Amino acid sequence: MRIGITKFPGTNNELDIKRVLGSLGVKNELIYPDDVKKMDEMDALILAGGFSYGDYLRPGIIAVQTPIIENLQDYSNSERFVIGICNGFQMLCETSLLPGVLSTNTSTKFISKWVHIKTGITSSPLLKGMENRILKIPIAHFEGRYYDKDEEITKLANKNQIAFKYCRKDGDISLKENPNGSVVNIAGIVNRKGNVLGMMPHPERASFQYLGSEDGRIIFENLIGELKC
Amino acid sequence: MLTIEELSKIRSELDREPNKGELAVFEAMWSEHCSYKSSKRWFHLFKDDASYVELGIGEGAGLINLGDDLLVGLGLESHNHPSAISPYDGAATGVGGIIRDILSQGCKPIAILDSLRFGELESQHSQHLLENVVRGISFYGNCCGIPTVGGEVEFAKPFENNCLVNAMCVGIISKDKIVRSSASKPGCFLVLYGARTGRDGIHGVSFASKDLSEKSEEERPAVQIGDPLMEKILIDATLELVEKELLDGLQDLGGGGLSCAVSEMTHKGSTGALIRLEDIPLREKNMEVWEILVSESQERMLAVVKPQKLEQVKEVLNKFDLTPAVIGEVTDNSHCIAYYKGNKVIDLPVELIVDGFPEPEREIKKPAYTSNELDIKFPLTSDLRKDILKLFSSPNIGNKSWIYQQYDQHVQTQTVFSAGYDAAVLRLDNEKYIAISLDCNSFMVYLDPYNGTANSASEALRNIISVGAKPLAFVDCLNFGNPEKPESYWQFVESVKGLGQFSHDFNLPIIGGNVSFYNESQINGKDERINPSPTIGMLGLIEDPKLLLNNYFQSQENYVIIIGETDGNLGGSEYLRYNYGILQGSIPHYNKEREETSMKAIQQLNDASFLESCHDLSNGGLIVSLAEMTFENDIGVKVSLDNLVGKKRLTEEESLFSESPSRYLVEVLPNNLKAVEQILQKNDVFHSVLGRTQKDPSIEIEKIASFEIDELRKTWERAISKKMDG
Repeated sequence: MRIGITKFPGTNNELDIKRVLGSLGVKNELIYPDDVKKMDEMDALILAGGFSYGDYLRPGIIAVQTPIIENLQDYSNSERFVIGICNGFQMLCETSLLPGVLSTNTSTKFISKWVHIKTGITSSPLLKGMENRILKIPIAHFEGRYYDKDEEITKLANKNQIAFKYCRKDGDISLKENPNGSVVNIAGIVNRKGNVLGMMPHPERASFQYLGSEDGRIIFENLIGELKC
Repeated sequence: MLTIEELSKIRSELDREPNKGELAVFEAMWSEHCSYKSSKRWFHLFKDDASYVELGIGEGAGLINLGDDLLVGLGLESHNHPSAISPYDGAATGVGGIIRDILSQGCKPIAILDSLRFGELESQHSQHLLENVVRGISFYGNCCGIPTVGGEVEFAKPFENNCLVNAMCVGIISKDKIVRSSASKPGCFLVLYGARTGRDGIHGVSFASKDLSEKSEEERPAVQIGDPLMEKILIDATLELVEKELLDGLQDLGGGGLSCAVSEMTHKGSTGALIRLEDIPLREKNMEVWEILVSESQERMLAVVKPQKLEQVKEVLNKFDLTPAVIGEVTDNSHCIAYYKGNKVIDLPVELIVDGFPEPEREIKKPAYTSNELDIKFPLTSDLRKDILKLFSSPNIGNKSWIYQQYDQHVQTQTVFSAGYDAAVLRLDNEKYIAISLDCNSFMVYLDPYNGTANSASEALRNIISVGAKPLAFVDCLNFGNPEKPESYWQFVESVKGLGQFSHDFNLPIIGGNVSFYNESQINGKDERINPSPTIGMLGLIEDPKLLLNNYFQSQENYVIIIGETDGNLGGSEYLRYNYGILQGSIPHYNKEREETSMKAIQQLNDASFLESCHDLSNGGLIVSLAEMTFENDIGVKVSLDNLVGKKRLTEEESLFSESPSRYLVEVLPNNLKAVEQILQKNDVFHSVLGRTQKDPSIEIEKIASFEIDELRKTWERAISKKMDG
């Protein structure tokens, strides 16, 4: 089993994800923008966060012009898992593999802090056993405000595609706990088939006790569990 | 500008007229910023060695061995003048510069800290500077994937027209991979890589080596423009070159640009260089020779490469789309020679460029203000409760999250304690924890540069101790006014003496730093000088994770003990300054014995696992530290000041607000109290059991005032954000 981690110029979370996968004993490889062949050999793909191509023009917009992201539609059609974290989530929305857009935080500032998110009820194997679970996890983004039209949000909710919502420590989902202005506090979503997950918070930064939380680790464990099946 | 004396020295040494390009090299290299011509003469006062120092002052990063050949690199630099004129780009490139300094020794950058100083936050100008400086640091550091984990900020009138932006970078490297900023082997190639050379930052070091004025706005072209994506690529590529051991020397192009990098590296290696300027990739057409030589365009590195490794170096750089340019060779004739399209345009002895400047005379005069006595009559107020609330609304006391939440604090997944703790703590791959703190109290330094500087360093020390670490070494950034003015130079000399004394007293080597003079301006004919601000960035090591100490109350019903003697001196305190506008008189004196006794007491109690939490006392005094300890976990506290023992009887104001050094607050479990007191008594440690933590979320100072935690916390949380966001 091998998991690919994308590395564009400006990506800066790839080694953090490597660290977590390494601690779980999983082989992993960095996938550079032209490595379509290597990408196709991978059992799953993680789009790591950071500032691909400096976030110039718009986050993710340049990365999605590269061969590996152009190949992503075919890759995910083959039922393989794709997880996009932060800048990776922005790419997934730019490619329309996931609906909606991620726009500038309402504060118009970069926000880096610990937040709590509540896991939704989805059919995604990546979130198996996590229903309603509250995770303590860091965010770090400038453009993390999830937005889509009301009817699209209703569809997302009806199809059980809302993966995570920002919440209070005790799980209460109120607008006060919304750090970036995301519509209905959305922090992450999945596609209909459940094999593509995009999220703004960083599970790899909440995967070791010494970092203050291990709550994010379960997502990687779920992924590996599924690949072993 | 070169002085007449300097010009005649150049003429007589060369025995000819220097040309325009050569003059530009001298102007850059003999500037205060590059030459340290007013400061270097005092550095002998610093302790600079220890068994674990792998590399001391003099290159991009000082290197400390953690004991298993994993080295930590530290660098600290100012970018004050550019930030005052163009806060966003000035601050961003300040961060970029210190990252490349660390990279020059091959270190992987793992953390950034910032020390910022602005005018009072009521001023719109200061708000504008804060907004954009923070945005610049955030944009650059975040994009490079380096967490910003701590720092400090001060607001005071003297910084209104001369803000200070000091950036510190921490890196790691294994001992066998160190790269030096030196060109020691003739025949090696000089390879320039990274961004192209343009016209930005021309004469940046000269700009940084004079006072700011109303006309400084016109010097905007002297401010460099940063591209963090290029920096990130540069970091990735350089780390691969270092890992593959392909480099024989490396230095970033910072102040003074190419002329500085080439002359400093050949000077260290006792060699010379031959450069072909037409081989330097340019961003703009028709650049003149002198412009190419001193351009401070960002994101450029100069590598020394053995001929047999050149192809491999090119291969790595090409992989990252960084076009390598072989711009010349290392020679053995101890001259820097440059050709442009076949014509020799520069021919200067390396020694003359780097070390040949005539040392200028500097006069010293103690300013009259330092003799003013502090004359206050107690009680200062009939409403201490109101006074306390006011103090918590001071931006110097209040919560700094408006700033640090704009910085990515967690990338690289090593951050254990970030901003908001006494010191930042990172867990390294060898499972050791390091602590870093960046501190200065410019008010204390202003009133008494010697004691104030030693106290500032002591504060950094206490911050390191408060998280359970053992202090190892530090770097400094000495921000002062115009050294040509005797009163300003007196501040500098006194401060350096205090710092030197501290470094010897605590056996802590100074392994790097930077001096920034000329932080003053003439506004309407009046001199406006900054408070002298020697910022100190200290490194500590936590050998065993069990020793990691939290700074917040952990549970109720525990005892709260103050360690160290409270000196009834309010001189330099934020309380007098912010609440009453008084900044004069003497300050609590630096006292090595007291500081050391308290430090050892904390270490001994922590070694014995007797401490639930610990927090140092600094800005704002006892009341501020006490309240801060309740904020994180909503654990209340009830204390009585009657229990506070002093050598003399203290007034309520002195007890609550004195900022005398060498003090900590600790939290102790009830069944450990006796043992703790025994240890403290046995070692003659000044201490008082002040009271206990409690379930009730309130802060009660018996007979004086009582607050809901929320009340103080809200005031504290909004001290900066209220002014910035309304």
